[in-house]
Amino acid sequence: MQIEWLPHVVNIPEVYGDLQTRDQQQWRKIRYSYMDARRWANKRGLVVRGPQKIFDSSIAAIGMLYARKQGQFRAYHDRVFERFWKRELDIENTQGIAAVLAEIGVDPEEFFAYLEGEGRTELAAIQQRADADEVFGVPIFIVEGEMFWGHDRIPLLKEKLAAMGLKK
Amino acid sequence: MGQRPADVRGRSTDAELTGWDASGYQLSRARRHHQATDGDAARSDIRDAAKRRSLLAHVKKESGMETKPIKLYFDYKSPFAYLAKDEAYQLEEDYQ
Repeated sequence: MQIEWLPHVVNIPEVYGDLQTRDQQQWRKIRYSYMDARRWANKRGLVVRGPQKIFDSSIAAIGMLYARKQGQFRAYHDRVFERFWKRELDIENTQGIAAVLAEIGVDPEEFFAYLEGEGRTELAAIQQRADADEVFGVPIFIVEGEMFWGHDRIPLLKEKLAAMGLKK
Repeated sequence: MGQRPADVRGRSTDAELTGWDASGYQLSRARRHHQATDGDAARSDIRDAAKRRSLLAHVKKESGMETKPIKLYFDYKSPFAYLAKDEAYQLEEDYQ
């Protein structure tokens, strides 16, 4: 099974309201969501510490596209997720992302040029695909046009894949 | 006709399952019935494995069942995308 990993930079203020203008209901939902995420994370031995601001994840997303081109997708993906959620990595910091790339053996020098050129273009194209796919949040899996939103929908996705005869 | 080897006794051949022969043509009902006999099943067991894979791939393609990639939209600033990561890796291992 091949998963096409598509970085989608969610517009948090658009989806969940901006920090200054969120109403009480929106805050309740966000607080619950983080509590729920930590509950799941604890079961899996993962650390999820709430971010202290709304981050722009586009640099990290382009870093992922670059790492994938160099055949280092998982090494990059694992490190960025884990460190961001431990508050050990600022995903808006280009040097921080470059350091992750260097750590996994990817030349960060060429990344800087990619970040300002081709990488931005590729990320914009993925955002357009997301719009065409009517993506409204993450994680969203799409198989044969059917959408599964949320990690807790993976069991339903598995049922779909099994019904397609794709179970090994 | 010889006995079907013990390790495949009772199994259906790919052609029986799919109704298509190795060259991609649909089998007639009579031929499918004939192929279901032990002797022919035993012969089918020694078919070239590559031909069988090719047949199944052809049938899947014809029926729209060929493997298609799953799209996964994620964002590093989503804790729920983080929670989905390892399970998504596992999907890549467990499904073809």
